[in-house]
Amino acid sequence: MGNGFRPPLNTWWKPYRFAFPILPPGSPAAALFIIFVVEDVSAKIEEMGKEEEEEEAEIERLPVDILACIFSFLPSFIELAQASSVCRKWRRGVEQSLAQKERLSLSGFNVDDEILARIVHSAYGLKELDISRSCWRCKITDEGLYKISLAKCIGNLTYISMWGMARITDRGVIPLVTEATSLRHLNVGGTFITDESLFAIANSCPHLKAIVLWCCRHVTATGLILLVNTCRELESINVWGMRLPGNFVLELHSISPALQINHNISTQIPYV
Amino acid sequence: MVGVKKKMVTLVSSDGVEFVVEKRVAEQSLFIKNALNEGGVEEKVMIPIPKVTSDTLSSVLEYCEKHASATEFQENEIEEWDKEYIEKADLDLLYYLLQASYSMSIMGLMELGAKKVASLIRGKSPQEIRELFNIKNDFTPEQEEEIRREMQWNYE
Repeated sequence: MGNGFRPPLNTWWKPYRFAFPILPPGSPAAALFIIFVVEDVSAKIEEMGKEEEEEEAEIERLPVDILACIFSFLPSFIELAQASSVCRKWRRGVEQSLAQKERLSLSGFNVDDEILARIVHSAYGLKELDISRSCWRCKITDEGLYKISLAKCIGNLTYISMWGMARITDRGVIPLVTEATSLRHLNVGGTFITDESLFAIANSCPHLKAIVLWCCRHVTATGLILLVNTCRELESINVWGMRLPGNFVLELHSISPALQINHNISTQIPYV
Repeated sequence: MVGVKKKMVTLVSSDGVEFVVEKRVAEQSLFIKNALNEGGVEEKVMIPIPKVTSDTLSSVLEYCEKHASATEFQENEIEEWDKEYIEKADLDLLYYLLQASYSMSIMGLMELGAKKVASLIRGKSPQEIRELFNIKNDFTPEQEEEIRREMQWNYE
């Protein structure tokens, strides 16, 4: 985020202050020391520390590493966002802790495509991504999904939840799942995907264990059968609220007998 | 000190106060453990701990002592103790503990302190956080604008 901007004069030495706790803020000595900072910061840090101590403890002087450690204990995304709006150093701390994060939930936040893409691109170590919505004004579109399909972490993702994202279709889901080859769990419930997305999943995600297609009304039995046929590690499937023929459960079980099928298909009168 | 056989080391805080502690207590800090191993030193070791004052060091050592004998306690006992220990630290001490545990490489203490600070941050607006920790807002107008845009998220 830093763009080389020089802060106002009275704070210009501040970033280095934590390294020189013996210098009272604003002293002429502080001004002298800054000259050496340019030459070798780390060597100087080692030498300092004895003699006097700082007058007041300011959390602001904590190194970014410690900040990142603190932020790693903030569970929700909104708290990270709040922290990153405090000051520039905290913003760097949040970025660093984001890069170390394995799980990220944006569920319920009204994030747009651009912000989503930026967050996911900086989360190098990400394994689990939840962008499902809990408010009706979800701004993420296929464009956003396409953008995150280009992120570094995408091949390591084992879990993606996108349920209830009313604006996404095959156009975004296909590029995403094509890159997400390590995927184990996928939730696309309530979206408008069709069999095309299922074909892409079947082709790219051989390790898929669970998929939720709750209320995906544009997905048909053809897509599901192909998916179950191809993804042999599939253990559970949720087809609740989909329009499927009455003998469908039997059909899936004939392909994969152990498959757990969560459904509300009426099977009282099975026609076989 | 009790027990004649116990190996002791002397830690010197940044303000010159000496702390004589058991080696196994001091070795809770990876920094000290490495220093001891490197030197292959025997008795009468003096280890200066730069940047850590006597007040902070005594608090750090309290933690190290408890955790050096962690095996004698139940796990939840230690957890309870940790909770109480960090609860009674005020903001200043919390900051010093973090700084000290970072420079002395005491991961458990650093995590404990970081969790505490995180709990203070939670649920606060950026302005409230600034006020609590006495932080200056040093964003440029452009950055401010960017943040404003980001924060427009609806998080009902």
